[in-house]
Amino acid sequence: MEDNKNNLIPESGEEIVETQTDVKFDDLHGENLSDRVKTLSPTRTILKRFFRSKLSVIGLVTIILLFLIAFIGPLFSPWGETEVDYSGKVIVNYEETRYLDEQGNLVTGFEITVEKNDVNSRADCSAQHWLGTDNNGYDILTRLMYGGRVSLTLGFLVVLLETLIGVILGGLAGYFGGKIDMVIMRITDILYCIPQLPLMLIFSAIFAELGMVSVVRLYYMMGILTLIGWAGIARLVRGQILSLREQDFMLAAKCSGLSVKRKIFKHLIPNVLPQLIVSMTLGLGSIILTEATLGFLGIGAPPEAATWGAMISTAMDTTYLNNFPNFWVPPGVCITLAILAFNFVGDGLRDAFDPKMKR
Amino acid sequence: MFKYVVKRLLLALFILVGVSLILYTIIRIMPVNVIVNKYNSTHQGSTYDEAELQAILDRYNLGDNSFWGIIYGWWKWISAFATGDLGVSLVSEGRNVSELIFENMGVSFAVSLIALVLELIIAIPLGIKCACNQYGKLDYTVTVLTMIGISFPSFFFASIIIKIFAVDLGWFDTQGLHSGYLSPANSGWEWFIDTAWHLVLPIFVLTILSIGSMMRYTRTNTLEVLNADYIRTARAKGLSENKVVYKHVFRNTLIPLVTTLAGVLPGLFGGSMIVEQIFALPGIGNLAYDLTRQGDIPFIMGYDMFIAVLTVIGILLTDIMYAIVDPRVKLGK
Repeated sequence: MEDNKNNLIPESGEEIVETQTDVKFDDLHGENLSDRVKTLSPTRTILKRFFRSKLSVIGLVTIILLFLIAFIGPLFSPWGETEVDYSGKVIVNYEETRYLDEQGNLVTGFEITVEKNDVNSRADCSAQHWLGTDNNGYDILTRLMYGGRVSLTLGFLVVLLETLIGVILGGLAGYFGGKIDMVIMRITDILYCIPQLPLMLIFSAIFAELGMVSVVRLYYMMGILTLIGWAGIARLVRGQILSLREQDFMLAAKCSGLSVKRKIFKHLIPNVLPQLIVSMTLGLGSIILTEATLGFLGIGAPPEAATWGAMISTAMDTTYLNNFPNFWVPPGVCITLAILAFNFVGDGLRDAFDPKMKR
Repeated sequence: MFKYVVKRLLLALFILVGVSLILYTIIRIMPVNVIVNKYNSTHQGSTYDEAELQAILDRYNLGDNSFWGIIYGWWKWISAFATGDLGVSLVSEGRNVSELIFENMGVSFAVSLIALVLELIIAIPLGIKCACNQYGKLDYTVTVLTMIGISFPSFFFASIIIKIFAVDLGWFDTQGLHSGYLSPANSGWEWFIDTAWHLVLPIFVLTILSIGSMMRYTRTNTLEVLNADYIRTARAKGLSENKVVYKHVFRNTLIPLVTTLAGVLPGLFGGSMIVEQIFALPGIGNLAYDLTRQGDIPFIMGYDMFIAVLTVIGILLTDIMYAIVDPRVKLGK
């Protein structure tokens, strides 16, 4: 016991040990309370809880992998986004023909046509094209990676903007109440009741008429999505702030004479943050889904731009649906993986933030 | 209660007016217009008469695209809407929009209703089961599976299902509602079986995709109920586990579930654009997609407002249901 203590307390403990009055006293000198009682900061607790759940870790790893592949992958690909493979292709078609000859016998013959194509389109999976080439002779894997860039960046952008608008307006509504609250909430009510998909169809027509081609149109469509999407976040923030506003720490903040801005952004918003982060993560998945849906309906990005949704829409054509699963299955898997990963992470975060969780 | 409902109804009216104004303005900005397209295709060269086209447009209050022109058109539209008149569709000439909507709603409604019933039958017991064995093997498996179900884009899932069951196995015919070789003249039974067979895949897709969220919702609510004091009391009384779960937990879990049911109204009557599109069902969603792309202004307004009205009713019902199902909730302030 004595040895141990001397080791721990080399200098200041020395004289106290000599007096031998109180052992407890020098205990406190040497080590902090936190060394004995393992307490973690709230952030660390949440992180620990988050990483304990296998599903959320799987989700996180998937997201990171998708990002890496989408942003770094194209650098290693020999093909470009709209680079056509001109290596040529020979297409041999067999067609069985049956006919009756003069004697009345059934004769089965084959009609063989050989077609030479300049473009190596609709190629099978090979070492050159891991997932084959599409109808235009583009490399599918490369386009998949470029499509990932669009989907993932747009998802983040839309969610961030939505949250920004939602937090500001929801915060104002919840904090001030009264007329401001009424006006903002009525706007969110109206936005909530506007059917999303038909609206997107209409805007697609408007943007097409304005001469927006390529991916630019998709950017504007996502802008519209942002303008409708903030309503949900505003409601969430308002609801939280309404209940937080009545709590004692807000009274304390009021008594200390803090400015309104400080009270909202320093004291109220951080308390809403857990729910916000969860809804943002889950929102990311749904934005990617919406973007893909637009692409699938052919009202998002035009077909020459590589987006996951547009690539999947080839499945609408029965020829491709039946014979070329490599056209539409990989982008579908990518979309599903991305949404799944964001859902896993969002769920994990929700559980991690919840103080009532036992595990 | 009565006062509250009246207040909410007035609010709903206000919301609908706001929605219609926004929608109408956006639709009028839309460059695609059936009338102009039709006129251009039928009157070429010498017969093309700007004044005549303008006159036709004016007849539908679509001629003036200035700010006040749009407001005037909206006013005309909403006054007609208030009397229940949704106007005449421009594409399907002479047909009333409301007629078109109700005619095409049948298929969509049947598909959604069956899918909804199946969803409830599967999701609720499964959710309760999972909650009772939280973190058990069943719970984990079902959670992961439902997560995958939630994350599946409907069009991708439908494509896979078509590829497997219709193309590779050849069990189903995926296009439309009836096989080509049958006609209504065939026996009614045969006709019915054929139609039902065509609806199996769409219903399957809709059910599988919606089970996930319902199951998770049930699970969360059941977990909350399981932690409640009255459940502890029930257990302390010495009730059997079955009785606790099926008599006490189950009924209380239904409270939040009943309220979510009001939220399915738009989907139930409004159809699903994507699934109907993929399976080529002659439902309201498919029609809405077609006519929206063609720019049939009265129909777009009618359909979108139909959805908006359903949404508003859904929200209203949710709040009222809360008070009916759970006597602790008091409405109005």
